[in-house]
Amino acid sequence: MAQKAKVHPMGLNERISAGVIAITILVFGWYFLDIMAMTADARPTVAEFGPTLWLMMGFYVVLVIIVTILAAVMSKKDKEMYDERDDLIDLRSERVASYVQGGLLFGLLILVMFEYSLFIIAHAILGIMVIYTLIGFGMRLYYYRRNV
Amino acid sequence: MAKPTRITNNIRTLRFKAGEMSQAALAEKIGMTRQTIIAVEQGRYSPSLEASFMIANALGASLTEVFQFAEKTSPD
Repeated sequence: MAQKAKVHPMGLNERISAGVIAITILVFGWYFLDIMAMTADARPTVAEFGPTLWLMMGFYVVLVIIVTILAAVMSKKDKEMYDERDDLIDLRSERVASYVQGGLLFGLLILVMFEYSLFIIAHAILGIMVIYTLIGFGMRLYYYRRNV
Repeated sequence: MAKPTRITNNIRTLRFKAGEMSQAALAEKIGMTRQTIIAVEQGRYSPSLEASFMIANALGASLTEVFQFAEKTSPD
């Protein structure tokens, strides 16, 4: 008989991290695909891509709030409990994400120095924010799952 | 992969001695998440002194009965 692997239930922070990762991939994945389709022929102006960008940001914030509420409801018991590892895991995951962000910001500086268009720079900044979020929450999830 | 700490513990044994107390029951008793107890029990996370005392009290044991420090043997 095959033995079942022991799976630990997810805590509140793990659920939030998993939710934020899923939303970030879905929303920004859709946005970048949409923008890439827009830029296939021409480089859009701020007036052209601005409304989509703001709409997407608003949509993202609302979804993150919904996921946080859902995670809190699903982990009602955990909410009153204290996880001592929270601060340590926050620090460790932020540190990894910050290293990556630092490297990417250096790349952004090069784009600015070579006077790339506002469209490219705006999306490079957005891309860096997305990668920072994904790595930060991804590392959080990893550390919680590894029982750090 | 998380590096195991040098602090070893007898939480599992003491839990069973204390009426087969589950990880969830121990966690609830000290107001911490079950995940914290799992991490401590597996030796992947060294708890704070306060949490260590709370765990020991909940298990009805002394701190040194619950936690031990693995001395590093110096190379010859």
